[in-house]
Amino acid sequence: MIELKNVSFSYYLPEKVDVIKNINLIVNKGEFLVIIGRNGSGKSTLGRLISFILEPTEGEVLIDKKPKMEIDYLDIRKKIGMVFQNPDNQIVSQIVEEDVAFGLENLNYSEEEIREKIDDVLNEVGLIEFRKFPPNFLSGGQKQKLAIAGILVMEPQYLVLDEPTSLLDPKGRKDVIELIKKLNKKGITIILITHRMEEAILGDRVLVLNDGEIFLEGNPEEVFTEVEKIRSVGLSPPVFTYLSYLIKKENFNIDIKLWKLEEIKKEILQLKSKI
Amino acid sequence: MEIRGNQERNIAVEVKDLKYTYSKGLPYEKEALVSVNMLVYEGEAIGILGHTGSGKSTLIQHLNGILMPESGEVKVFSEKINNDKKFLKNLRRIVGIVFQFPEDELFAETVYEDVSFGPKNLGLTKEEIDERVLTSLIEVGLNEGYLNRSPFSLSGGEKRRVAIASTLSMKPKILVLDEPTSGLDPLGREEILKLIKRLKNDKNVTIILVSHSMEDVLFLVDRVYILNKGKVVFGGDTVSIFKDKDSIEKFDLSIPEIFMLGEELKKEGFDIEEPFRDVEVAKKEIIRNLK
Repeated sequence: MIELKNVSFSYYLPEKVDVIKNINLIVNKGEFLVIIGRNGSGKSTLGRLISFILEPTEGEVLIDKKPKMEIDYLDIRKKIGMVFQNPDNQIVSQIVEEDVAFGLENLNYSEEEIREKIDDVLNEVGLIEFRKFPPNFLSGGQKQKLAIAGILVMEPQYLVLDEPTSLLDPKGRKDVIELIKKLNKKGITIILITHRMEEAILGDRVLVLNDGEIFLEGNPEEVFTEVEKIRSVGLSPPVFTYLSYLIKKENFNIDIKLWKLEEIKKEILQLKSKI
Repeated sequence: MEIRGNQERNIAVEVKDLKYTYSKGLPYEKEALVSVNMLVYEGEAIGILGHTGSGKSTLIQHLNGILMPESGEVKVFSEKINNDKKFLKNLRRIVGIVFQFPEDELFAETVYEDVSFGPKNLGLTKEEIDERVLTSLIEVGLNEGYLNRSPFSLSGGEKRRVAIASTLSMKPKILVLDEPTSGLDPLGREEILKLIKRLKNDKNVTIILVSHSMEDVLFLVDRVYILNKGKVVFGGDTVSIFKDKDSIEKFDLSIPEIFMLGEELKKEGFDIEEPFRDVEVAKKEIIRNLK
Protein backbone atom coordinates (compact mmCIF):
# COMPACT_ATOMS: atom_id res chain seq x y z
CA MET A 1 0.00 0.00 0.00
CA ILE A 2 1.21 3.47 -0.85
CA GLU A 3 -0.24 6.25 1.24
CA LEU A 4 -0.07 9.99 0.66
CA LYS A 5 -0.75 12.00 3.81
CA ASN A 6 -1.47 15.73 3.40
CA VAL A 7 0.97 15.83 0.53
CA SER A 8 1.81 19.15 -1.11
CA PHE A 9 4.43 19.92 -3.69
CA SER A 10 5.65 23.32 -4.87
CA TYR A 11 8.17 24.55 -7.38
CA TYR A 12 10.01 27.85 -7.11
CA LEU A 13 10.15 29.57 -10.48
CA PRO A 14 11.37 31.72 -8.64
CA GLU A 15 7.92 32.61 -7.30
CA LYS A 16 6.20 29.72 -5.52
CA VAL A 17 3.91 27.55 -7.66
CA ASP A 18 1.78 25.00 -5.81
CA VAL A 19 1.50 21.97 -8.05
CA ILE A 20 -0.02 19.52 -5.58
CA LYS A 21 -2.17 20.82 -2.76
CA ASN A 22 -2.75 18.78 0.36
CA ILE A 23 -3.63 15.45 -1.21
CA ASN A 24 -4.64 12.40 0.79
CA LEU A 25 -4.66 9.17 -1.18
CA ILE A 26 -4.27 5.46 -0.61
CA VAL A 27 -3.14 3.21 -3.46
CA ASN A 28 -4.12 -0.33 -2.57
CA LYS A 29 -2.09 -3.33 -3.54
CA GLY A 30 -3.34 -4.97 -6.72
CA GLU A 31 -5.63 -2.18 -7.85
CA PHE A 32 -5.74 -0.44 -11.22
CA LEU A 33 -5.80 3.26 -10.49
CA VAL A 34 -6.19 5.79 -13.29
CA ILE A 35 -5.23 9.44 -12.92
CA ILE A 36 -6.66 11.95 -15.38
CA GLY A 37 -6.61 15.72 -15.49
CA ARG A 38 -5.96 18.57 -17.90
CA ASN A 39 -2.44 19.65 -18.87
CA GLY A 40 -0.90 21.33 -15.87
CA SER A 41 -3.27 19.75 -13.32
CA GLY A 42 -0.40 18.04 -11.52
CA LYS A 43 -0.84 14.46 -12.81
CA SER A 44 2.79 13.82 -13.64
CA THR A 45 3.94 15.37 -10.39
CA LEU A 46 1.51 13.18 -8.47
CA GLY A 47 2.82 10.13 -10.33
CA ARG A 48 6.36 11.06 -9.39
CA LEU A 49 5.36 11.55 -5.75
CA ILE A 50 3.66 8.14 -5.67
CA SER A 51 6.80 6.57 -7.09
CA PHE A 52 9.13 8.37 -4.68
CA ILE A 53 10.96 10.13 -7.49
CA LEU A 54 9.94 13.50 -6.05
CA GLU A 55 9.74 14.30 -2.37
CA PRO A 56 6.77 16.25 -1.08
CA THR A 57 7.41 19.78 0.15
CA GLU A 58 4.83 19.10 2.85
CA GLY A 59 3.26 15.91 4.19
CA GLU A 60 4.60 12.43 3.67
CA VAL A 61 4.40 9.42 1.38
CA LEU A 62 4.44 5.99 3.01
CA ILE A 63 5.01 2.60 1.46
CA ASP A 64 3.63 -0.29 3.48
CA LYS A 65 3.13 2.22 6.29
CA LYS A 66 6.80 3.17 6.38
CA PRO A 67 8.24 6.53 5.37
CA LYS A 68 11.17 6.76 2.98
CA MET A 69 13.64 7.34 5.84
CA GLU A 70 12.93 3.91 7.29
CA ILE A 71 13.48 1.92 4.11
CA ASP A 72 16.50 1.28 1.98
CA TYR A 73 16.02 3.54 -1.08
CA LEU A 74 17.12 0.75 -3.41
CA ASP A 75 14.27 -1.30 -2.01
CA ILE A 76 11.78 1.40 -2.95
CA ARG A 77 13.21 1.54 -6.46
CA LYS A 78 12.77 -2.20 -6.78
CA LYS A 79 9.20 -2.06 -5.53
CA ILE A 80 7.99 0.87 -7.63
CA GLY A 81 8.78 1.19 -11.31
CA MET A 82 7.98 4.13 -13.53
CA VAL A 83 7.42 4.25 -17.29
CA PHE A 84 7.35 7.54 -19.17
CA GLN A 85 5.69 8.90 -22.30
CA ASN A 86 8.63 8.66 -24.64
CA PRO A 87 10.36 5.25 -24.59
CA ASP A 88 13.38 6.76 -26.35
CA ASN A 89 14.15 8.63 -23.13
CA GLN A 90 14.14 5.43 -21.15
CA ILE A 91 16.09 3.09 -23.41
CA VAL A 92 19.81 3.21 -22.67
CA SER A 93 21.49 0.33 -24.52
CA GLN A 94 22.32 -0.58 -28.09
CA ILE A 95 20.85 -4.08 -27.89
CA VAL A 96 17.37 -5.03 -26.66
CA GLU A 97 18.47 -7.63 -24.11
CA GLU A 98 21.23 -5.42 -22.76
CA ASP A 99 18.70 -2.72 -22.16
CA VAL A 100 16.57 -5.07 -20.10
CA ALA A 101 19.66 -6.17 -18.16
CA PHE A 102 20.68 -2.62 -17.27
CA GLY A 103 18.84 -2.44 -13.95
CA LEU A 104 19.88 -5.91 -12.87
CA GLU A 105 23.55 -5.39 -13.52
CA ASN A 106 23.69 -3.06 -10.55
CA LEU A 107 22.10 -5.57 -8.21
CA ASN A 108 24.64 -8.34 -7.69
CA TYR A 109 22.88 -11.06 -9.67
CA SER A 110 24.87 -13.85 -11.27
CA GLU A 111 25.09 -13.92 -15.04
CA GLU A 112 22.84 -16.97 -15.17
CA GLU A 113 20.19 -15.35 -13.05
CA ILE A 114 20.29 -12.27 -15.20
CA ARG A 115 19.93 -14.32 -18.37
CA GLU A 116 16.97 -16.21 -16.99
CA LYS A 117 15.19 -13.08 -15.83
CA ILE A 118 15.72 -11.35 -19.17
CA ASP A 119 14.26 -14.28 -21.06
CA ASP A 120 11.22 -14.39 -18.80
CA VAL A 121 10.54 -10.71 -19.17
CA LEU A 122 11.09 -10.58 -22.93
CA ASN A 123 8.68 -13.50 -23.27
CA GLU A 124 6.17 -11.74 -21.08
CA VAL A 125 6.16 -8.57 -23.20
CA GLY A 126 6.42 -10.47 -26.49
CA LEU A 127 9.82 -9.22 -27.61
CA ILE A 128 11.90 -12.39 -27.25
CA GLU A 129 12.50 -12.68 -30.99
CA PHE A 130 14.04 -9.19 -31.02
CA ARG A 131 16.49 -9.83 -28.17
CA LYS A 132 19.60 -9.25 -30.30
CA PHE A 133 18.19 -6.27 -32.20
CA PRO A 134 19.14 -2.64 -31.68
CA PRO A 135 16.15 -0.85 -30.12
CA ASN A 136 15.86 1.55 -33.06
CA PHE A 137 14.67 -1.37 -35.19
CA LEU A 138 11.57 -1.59 -33.02
CA SER A 139 8.27 0.16 -33.63
CA GLY A 140 7.00 2.74 -31.15
CA GLY A 141 4.80 0.22 -29.37
CA GLN A 142 7.60 -2.32 -29.19
CA LYS A 143 9.95 0.31 -27.78
CA GLN A 144 7.44 1.14 -25.08
CA LYS A 145 7.14 -2.56 -24.26
CA LEU A 146 10.92 -2.69 -24.03
CA ALA A 147 10.87 0.23 -21.58
CA ILE A 148 8.28 -1.68 -19.54
CA ALA A 149 10.41 -4.83 -19.73
CA GLY A 150 13.36 -2.91 -18.29
CA ILE A 151 11.18 -2.11 -15.28
CA LEU A 152 9.49 -5.52 -15.00
CA VAL A 153 12.79 -7.30 -14.72
CA MET A 154 13.17 -5.63 -11.31
CA GLU A 155 9.94 -7.41 -10.28
CA PRO A 156 8.14 -4.30 -9.08
CA GLN A 157 4.93 -4.44 -7.05
CA TYR A 158 3.81 -1.07 -8.34
CA LEU A 159 4.01 0.25 -11.87
CA VAL A 160 3.41 3.96 -12.49
CA LEU A 161 2.88 4.75 -16.18
CA ASP A 162 2.83 8.38 -17.30
CA GLU A 163 0.98 8.59 -20.63
CA PRO A 164 2.67 5.47 -21.97
CA THR A 165 0.60 5.37 -25.17
CA SER A 166 0.36 8.98 -26.26
CA LEU A 167 3.14 8.70 -28.83
CA LEU A 168 2.08 5.36 -30.24
CA ASP A 169 0.13 4.35 -33.32
CA PRO A 170 -3.21 2.55 -32.86
CA LYS A 171 -1.64 -0.92 -32.94
CA GLY A 172 1.12 0.02 -30.50
CA ARG A 173 -1.44 1.59 -28.20
CA LYS A 174 -3.57 -1.52 -28.17
CA ASP A 175 -0.58 -3.79 -27.51
CA VAL A 176 0.71 -1.71 -24.61
CA ILE A 177 -2.74 -1.49 -23.01
CA GLU A 178 -3.18 -5.27 -23.32
CA LEU A 179 0.18 -5.73 -21.60
CA ILE A 180 -0.78 -3.37 -18.77
CA LYS A 181 -4.05 -5.26 -18.23
CA LYS A 182 -2.18 -8.56 -18.15
CA LEU A 183 0.33 -7.28 -15.60
CA ASN A 184 -2.48 -6.05 -13.38
CA LYS A 185 -4.16 -9.47 -13.55
CA LYS A 186 -0.87 -10.96 -12.37
CA GLY A 187 -1.08 -8.82 -9.27
CA ILE A 188 1.02 -5.78 -10.14
CA THR A 189 -0.57 -2.57 -8.91
CA ILE A 190 -1.08 -0.19 -11.82
CA ILE A 191 -1.14 3.59 -11.60
CA LEU A 192 -1.92 4.83 -15.11
CA ILE A 193 -1.80 8.50 -16.02
CA THR A 194 -3.60 9.12 -19.31
CA HIS A 195 -5.41 11.57 -21.55
CA ARG A 196 -7.27 8.85 -23.37
CA MET A 197 -10.69 8.21 -21.91
CA GLU A 198 -11.01 4.79 -23.52
CA GLU A 199 -8.01 3.83 -21.37
CA ALA A 200 -9.33 5.56 -18.27
CA ILE A 201 -12.45 3.39 -18.22
CA LEU A 202 -10.27 0.30 -17.74
CA GLY A 203 -9.39 1.32 -14.19
CA ASP A 204 -10.97 0.05 -10.97
CA ARG A 205 -10.84 3.62 -9.76
CA VAL A 206 -10.44 6.94 -11.53
CA LEU A 207 -8.97 10.02 -9.91
CA VAL A 208 -9.66 13.36 -11.55
CA LEU A 209 -7.04 15.92 -10.68
CA ASN A 210 -7.61 19.63 -11.13
CA ASP A 211 -5.32 22.43 -10.13
CA GLY A 212 -3.36 20.14 -7.82
CA GLU A 213 -6.38 18.82 -5.96
CA ILE A 214 -8.54 15.72 -6.22
CA PHE A 215 -11.64 16.97 -8.03
CA LEU A 216 -13.56 13.71 -8.48
CA GLU A 217 -12.94 10.13 -7.49
CA GLY A 218 -14.85 6.91 -8.10
CA ASN A 219 -15.27 4.03 -10.48
CA PRO A 220 -15.30 4.93 -14.19
CA GLU A 221 -19.10 4.92 -14.39
CA GLU A 222 -19.45 7.24 -11.39
CA VAL A 223 -16.84 9.65 -12.65
CA PHE A 224 -17.67 9.86 -16.35
CA THR A 225 -21.42 10.26 -15.99
CA GLU A 226 -20.69 13.60 -14.31
CA VAL A 227 -20.42 15.03 -17.80
CA GLU A 228 -20.63 18.71 -16.95
CA LYS A 229 -18.17 18.46 -14.08
CA ILE A 230 -15.76 16.48 -16.21
CA ARG A 231 -15.91 18.99 -19.05
CA SER A 232 -15.54 21.91 -16.65
CA VAL A 233 -12.00 20.72 -15.90
CA GLY A 234 -10.78 20.33 -19.48
CA LEU A 235 -11.68 16.68 -19.90
CA SER A 236 -14.39 14.89 -21.81
CA PRO A 237 -16.14 11.59 -21.11
CA PRO A 238 -15.90 8.65 -23.53
CA VAL A 239 -17.59 9.54 -26.80
CA PHE A 240 -20.83 7.55 -26.34
CA THR A 241 -21.32 8.83 -22.79
CA TYR A 242 -21.00 12.35 -24.13
CA LEU A 243 -23.32 11.55 -27.04
CA SER A 244 -26.00 10.23 -24.66
CA TYR A 245 -25.64 13.42 -22.60
CA LEU A 246 -26.10 15.58 -25.70
CA ILE A 247 -29.18 13.62 -26.81
CA LYS A 248 -30.70 13.78 -23.33
CA LYS A 249 -30.19 17.54 -23.31
CA GLU A 250 -32.52 17.71 -26.33
CA ASN A 251 -35.22 16.20 -24.09
CA PHE A 252 -34.99 12.58 -25.16
CA ASN A 253 -35.27 9.82 -22.62
CA ILE A 254 -31.84 8.21 -22.62
CA ASP A 255 -29.56 7.24 -19.72
CA ILE A 256 -26.16 8.82 -19.41
CA LYS A 257 -23.79 5.93 -18.89
CA LEU A 258 -20.73 4.13 -20.24
CA TRP A 259 -22.32 2.82 -23.42
CA LYS A 260 -20.81 0.25 -25.70
CA LEU A 261 -21.40 0.62 -29.45
CA GLU A 262 -23.99 -2.17 -29.68
CA GLU A 263 -25.86 -0.95 -26.60
CA ILE A 264 -26.20 2.66 -27.63
CA LYS A 265 -27.21 1.62 -31.13
CA LYS A 266 -30.05 -0.48 -29.68
CA GLU A 267 -31.07 2.35 -27.39
CA ILE A 268 -31.21 4.84 -30.26
CA LEU A 269 -33.23 2.39 -32.38
CA GLN A 270 -35.64 2.03 -29.50
CA LEU A 271 -36.01 5.79 -29.21
CA LYS A 272 -36.78 5.87 -32.91
CA SER A 273 -39.39 3.12 -32.64
CA LYS A 274 -41.26 5.18 -30.03
CA ILE A 275 -41.80 8.13 -32.33
CA MET B 1 -6.16 8.11 -57.07
CA GLU B 2 -9.56 9.50 -57.72
CA ILE B 3 -9.99 13.19 -57.19
CA ARG B 4 -13.44 14.51 -57.62
CA GLY B 5 -14.35 18.10 -58.27
CA ASN B 6 -10.86 19.33 -57.55
CA GLN B 7 -9.63 19.75 -61.09
CA GLU B 8 -9.75 23.50 -61.12
CA ARG B 9 -8.02 24.09 -57.82
CA ASN B 10 -4.43 25.16 -57.59
CA ILE B 11 -1.90 22.54 -56.72
CA ALA B 12 -0.21 23.52 -53.47
CA VAL B 13 2.26 20.68 -53.20
CA GLU B 14 3.40 18.16 -55.73
CA VAL B 15 5.80 15.37 -54.79
CA LYS B 16 7.16 13.29 -57.65
CA ASP B 17 9.17 10.06 -57.30
CA LEU B 18 10.79 11.39 -54.16
CA LYS B 19 13.63 9.30 -52.85
CA TYR B 20 15.77 9.90 -49.79
CA THR B 21 18.41 7.79 -48.08
CA TYR B 22 19.91 8.62 -44.72
CA SER B 23 23.70 8.19 -44.32
CA LYS B 24 24.01 7.48 -48.02
CA GLY B 25 27.13 5.46 -48.83
CA LEU B 26 27.79 4.48 -45.24
CA PRO B 27 27.44 0.91 -43.99
CA TYR B 28 24.26 1.76 -42.08
CA GLU B 29 22.53 3.73 -44.82
CA LYS B 30 18.78 3.67 -44.54
CA GLU B 31 16.35 4.20 -47.36
CA ALA B 32 13.67 6.32 -45.72
CA LEU B 33 11.74 7.26 -48.86
CA VAL B 34 11.81 4.86 -51.78
CA SER B 35 9.47 6.59 -54.17
CA VAL B 36 6.78 8.92 -52.96
CA ASN B 37 4.18 10.61 -55.12
CA MET B 38 1.71 13.00 -53.60
CA LEU B 39 -0.55 15.83 -54.68
CA VAL B 40 -2.09 18.40 -52.38
CA TYR B 41 -4.56 21.01 -53.60
CA GLU B 42 -4.74 24.51 -52.23
CA GLY B 43 -7.20 24.81 -49.38
CA GLU B 44 -7.65 21.11 -48.71
CA ALA B 45 -6.61 19.17 -45.65
CA ILE B 46 -4.76 15.94 -46.16
CA GLY B 47 -3.59 13.36 -43.66
CA ILE B 48 -0.38 11.37 -43.80
CA LEU B 49 -0.64 8.11 -41.90
CA GLY B 50 1.75 5.27 -41.33
CA HIS B 51 3.71 3.43 -38.69
CA THR B 52 6.64 4.85 -36.82
CA GLY B 53 9.49 4.58 -39.30
CA SER B 54 7.33 4.63 -42.42
CA GLY B 55 8.93 7.86 -43.67
CA LYS B 56 6.36 10.47 -42.61
CA SER B 57 8.82 12.78 -40.87
CA THR B 58 11.35 12.48 -43.68
CA LEU B 59 8.65 13.38 -46.17
CA ILE B 60 7.48 16.51 -44.38
CA GLN B 61 11.03 17.74 -43.93
CA HIS B 62 11.20 17.94 -47.72
CA LEU B 63 8.23 20.29 -47.87
CA ASN B 64 10.17 23.35 -46.74
CA GLY B 65 13.61 22.36 -47.85
CA ILE B 66 15.07 21.10 -44.58
CA LEU B 67 15.97 18.01 -46.58
CA MET B 68 16.70 18.07 -50.31
CA PRO B 69 15.56 15.19 -52.53
CA GLU B 70 18.15 12.58 -53.40
CA SER B 71 16.14 12.09 -56.57
CA GLY B 72 12.71 13.12 -57.70
CA GLU B 73 11.27 16.54 -56.97
CA VAL B 74 9.06 18.57 -54.71
CA LYS B 75 7.10 21.53 -56.02
CA VAL B 76 5.32 24.12 -53.91
CA PHE B 77 2.85 26.24 -55.84
CA SER B 78 4.49 24.98 -59.04
CA GLU B 79 8.00 26.00 -58.06
CA LYS B 80 10.56 23.29 -57.72
CA ILE B 81 12.33 23.35 -54.36
CA ASN B 82 16.02 24.09 -54.73
CA ASN B 83 18.98 25.08 -52.64
CA ASP B 84 18.94 28.79 -53.48
CA LYS B 85 19.09 30.80 -50.25
CA LYS B 86 16.57 33.41 -51.28
CA PHE B 87 14.20 30.76 -52.55
CA LEU B 88 14.39 28.84 -49.29
CA LYS B 89 13.79 31.94 -47.23
CA ASN B 90 10.63 32.64 -49.16
CA LEU B 91 9.60 28.98 -49.12
CA ARG B 92 9.72 28.93 -45.34
CA ARG B 93 7.27 31.80 -45.21
CA ILE B 94 4.87 29.85 -47.38
CA VAL B 95 5.25 26.47 -45.72
CA GLY B 96 5.06 26.46 -41.93
CA ILE B 97 5.90 23.23 -40.16
CA VAL B 98 4.81 22.57 -36.61
CA PHE B 99 6.89 19.64 -35.45
CA GLN B 100 5.94 17.13 -32.80
CA PHE B 101 6.11 18.64 -29.31
CA PRO B 102 6.78 22.12 -30.73
CA GLU B 103 6.75 23.51 -27.19
CA ASP B 104 10.23 22.02 -26.79
CA GLU B 105 11.40 24.61 -29.31
CA LEU B 106 10.23 27.61 -27.28
CA PHE B 107 13.34 29.49 -26.26
CA ALA B 108 12.63 33.11 -25.37
CA GLU B 109 11.92 34.77 -22.05
CA THR B 110 8.47 35.98 -23.02
CA VAL B 111 5.66 34.75 -25.23
CA TYR B 112 5.97 37.97 -27.25
CA GLU B 113 9.63 37.34 -28.06
CA ASP B 114 8.91 33.79 -29.13
CA VAL B 115 5.98 34.59 -31.40
CA SER B 116 7.63 37.70 -32.88
CA PHE B 117 10.90 35.92 -33.72
CA GLY B 118 9.84 34.96 -37.25
CA PRO B 119 8.12 38.22 -38.29
CA LYS B 120 11.12 40.23 -37.00
CA ASN B 121 13.16 38.75 -39.83
CA LEU B 122 10.69 39.88 -42.46
CA GLY B 123 11.53 43.57 -42.43
CA LEU B 124 8.18 44.61 -40.97
CA THR B 125 7.54 47.67 -38.84
CA LYS B 126 7.10 47.33 -35.08
CA GLU B 127 3.36 47.93 -35.45
CA GLU B 128 3.04 45.24 -38.10
CA ILE B 129 4.99 42.80 -35.97
CA ASP B 130 2.86 43.52 -32.90
CA GLU B 131 -0.27 43.15 -34.95
CA ARG B 132 0.86 39.74 -36.26
CA VAL B 133 1.81 38.54 -32.79
CA LEU B 134 -1.52 39.48 -31.30
CA THR B 135 -3.55 38.09 -34.21
CA SER B 136 -1.70 34.79 -34.00
CA LEU B 137 -2.23 34.53 -30.26
CA ILE B 138 -5.93 35.24 -30.66
CA GLU B 139 -6.16 32.68 -33.45
CA VAL B 140 -4.86 29.97 -31.11
CA GLY B 141 -7.26 31.01 -28.37
CA LEU B 142 -4.88 33.03 -26.19
CA ASN B 143 -4.94 36.79 -25.54
CA GLU B 144 -2.71 39.79 -24.88
CA GLY B 145 -2.46 38.83 -21.22
CA TYR B 146 0.05 36.21 -22.31
CA LEU B 147 2.42 38.56 -24.12
CA ASN B 148 4.79 39.16 -21.24
CA ARG B 149 4.55 35.78 -19.58
CA SER B 150 7.40 33.30 -19.63
CA PRO B 151 6.59 30.32 -21.89
CA PHE B 152 7.91 28.12 -19.10
CA SER B 153 5.19 29.23 -16.70
CA LEU B 154 2.46 27.97 -19.05
CA SER B 155 0.66 24.63 -19.04
CA GLY B 156 1.39 22.03 -21.71
CA GLY B 157 -1.66 22.99 -23.77
CA GLU B 158 -0.85 26.69 -23.60
CA LYS B 159 2.78 26.10 -24.59
CA ARG B 160 1.60 24.06 -27.57
CA ARG B 161 -0.62 26.94 -28.64
CA VAL B 162 2.16 29.49 -28.28
CA ALA B 163 4.37 27.29 -30.44
CA ILE B 164 1.67 27.05 -33.11
CA ALA B 165 1.17 30.83 -32.90
CA SER B 166 4.90 31.26 -33.62
CA THR B 167 4.39 29.44 -36.90
CA LEU B 168 1.12 31.26 -37.71
CA SER B 169 2.80 34.65 -37.23
CA MET B 170 4.59 33.95 -40.53
CA LYS B 171 1.15 33.67 -42.19
CA PRO B 172 1.95 30.40 -43.96
CA LYS B 173 -0.24 29.33 -46.88
CA ILE B 174 0.57 25.70 -46.18
CA LEU B 175 0.60 24.45 -42.62
CA VAL B 176 2.19 21.09 -41.88
CA LEU B 177 1.49 19.65 -38.44
CA ASP B 178 3.18 16.58 -36.99
CA GLU B 179 1.01 15.04 -34.25
CA PRO B 180 -0.37 18.40 -33.09
CA THR B 181 -2.65 16.95 -30.41
CA SER B 182 -0.46 14.27 -28.87
CA GLY B 183 -0.14 14.70 -25.13
CA LEU B 184 -2.98 17.24 -24.91
CA ASP B 185 -6.00 16.87 -22.67
CA PRO B 186 -9.37 16.27 -24.40
CA LEU B 187 -10.57 19.86 -24.47
CA GLY B 188 -7.10 21.12 -25.42
CA ARG B 189 -7.24 18.63 -28.26
CA GLU B 190 -10.69 19.82 -29.36
CA GLU B 191 -9.48 23.42 -29.36
CA ILE B 192 -6.41 22.68 -31.47
CA LEU B 193 -8.46 20.69 -33.97
CA LYS B 194 -11.08 23.42 -34.26
CA LEU B 195 -8.32 25.99 -34.68
CA ILE B 196 -6.82 24.04 -37.58
CA LYS B 197 -10.25 23.63 -39.15
CA ARG B 198 -10.86 27.39 -38.87
CA LEU B 199 -7.56 28.13 -40.60
CA LYS B 200 -8.61 25.87 -43.41
CA ASN B 201 -12.20 27.07 -43.75
CA ASP B 202 -11.80 30.79 -43.08
CA LYS B 203 -8.30 31.49 -44.38
CA ASN B 204 -7.97 28.82 -47.05
CA VAL B 205 -4.76 27.54 -45.45
CA THR B 206 -3.73 24.18 -46.90
CA ILE B 207 -3.33 21.64 -44.11
CA ILE B 208 -1.04 18.63 -44.08
CA LEU B 209 -1.58 16.59 -40.95
CA VAL B 210 0.63 13.75 -39.76
CA SER B 211 -1.20 11.81 -37.10
CA HIS B 212 -1.67 8.52 -35.32
CA SER B 213 -5.05 9.63 -34.05
CA MET B 214 -7.84 8.31 -36.24
CA GLU B 215 -10.28 10.64 -34.48
CA ASP B 216 -8.19 13.67 -35.48
CA VAL B 217 -7.88 12.42 -39.07
CA LEU B 218 -11.59 11.78 -39.36
CA PHE B 219 -12.50 15.17 -37.93
CA LEU B 220 -10.05 17.21 -39.95
CA VAL B 221 -8.86 15.83 -43.24
CA ASP B 222 -10.45 15.40 -46.66
CA ARG B 223 -8.01 12.89 -48.08
CA VAL B 224 -5.47 10.47 -46.71
CA TYR B 225 -2.14 9.08 -47.87
CA ILE B 226 -0.83 5.99 -46.11
CA LEU B 227 2.93 5.51 -46.10
CA ASN B 228 4.66 2.21 -45.57
CA LYS B 229 8.37 1.58 -45.85
CA GLY B 230 8.96 4.78 -47.77
CA LYS B 231 6.17 4.37 -50.31
CA VAL B 232 2.60 5.56 -50.60
CA VAL B 233 0.65 2.32 -50.34
CA PHE B 234 -2.83 3.74 -50.25
CA GLY B 235 -4.66 6.96 -50.84
CA GLY B 236 -8.23 8.07 -50.94
CA ASP B 237 -10.83 10.24 -49.33
CA THR B 238 -11.06 9.91 -45.58
CA VAL B 239 -14.60 8.65 -45.27
CA SER B 240 -14.20 5.93 -47.86
CA ILE B 241 -11.04 4.67 -46.17
CA PHE B 242 -12.84 4.29 -42.87
CA LYS B 243 -15.60 2.43 -44.69
CA ASP B 244 -13.10 0.01 -46.20
CA LYS B 245 -12.57 -2.60 -43.48
CA ASP B 246 -9.94 -4.46 -45.50
CA SER B 247 -7.55 -1.55 -45.77
CA ILE B 248 -8.18 -0.59 -42.17
CA GLU B 249 -7.01 -4.02 -41.14
CA LYS B 250 -4.21 -4.21 -43.65
CA PHE B 251 -2.68 -0.93 -42.51
CA ASP B 252 -3.29 -1.44 -38.78
CA LEU B 253 -5.56 1.54 -38.50
CA SER B 254 -8.60 1.71 -36.30
CA ILE B 255 -12.07 3.02 -37.01
CA PRO B 256 -13.32 5.62 -34.56
CA GLU B 257 -16.37 4.22 -32.73
CA ILE B 258 -18.47 7.30 -33.39
CA PHE B 259 -18.01 6.76 -37.14
CA MET B 260 -19.02 3.10 -36.78
CA LEU B 261 -22.22 4.12 -35.00
CA GLY B 262 -23.18 6.24 -38.01
CA GLU B 263 -22.58 3.35 -40.39
CA GLU B 264 -24.55 0.97 -38.17
CA LEU B 265 -27.51 3.32 -37.89
CA LYS B 266 -27.51 3.81 -41.63
CA LYS B 267 -27.81 0.04 -42.08
CA GLU B 268 -30.81 0.15 -39.76
CA GLY B 269 -32.53 2.59 -42.07
CA PHE B 270 -31.58 5.89 -40.48
CA ASP B 271 -31.41 8.75 -42.90
CA ILE B 272 -27.80 9.85 -42.45
CA GLU B 273 -26.77 12.84 -44.54
CA GLU B 274 -23.32 13.40 -43.11
CA PRO B 275 -20.85 10.75 -41.92
CA PHE B 276 -20.25 10.87 -38.15
CA ARG B 277 -16.93 12.73 -38.12
CA ASP B 278 -17.37 13.80 -34.51
CA VAL B 279 -19.87 13.70 -31.71
CA GLU B 280 -21.53 16.99 -32.70
CA VAL B 281 -22.37 15.70 -36.17
CA ALA B 282 -23.59 12.43 -34.64
CA LYS B 283 -25.91 14.28 -32.30
CA LYS B 284 -27.31 16.47 -35.06
CA GLU B 285 -27.96 13.51 -37.37
CA ILE B 286 -29.53 11.34 -34.66
CA ILE B 287 -31.79 14.10 -33.37
CA ARG B 288 -33.00 14.81 -36.90
CA ASN B 289 -33.96 11.15 -37.24
CA LEU B 290 -35.79 11.18 -33.93
CA LYS B 291 -38.00 14.16 -34.80
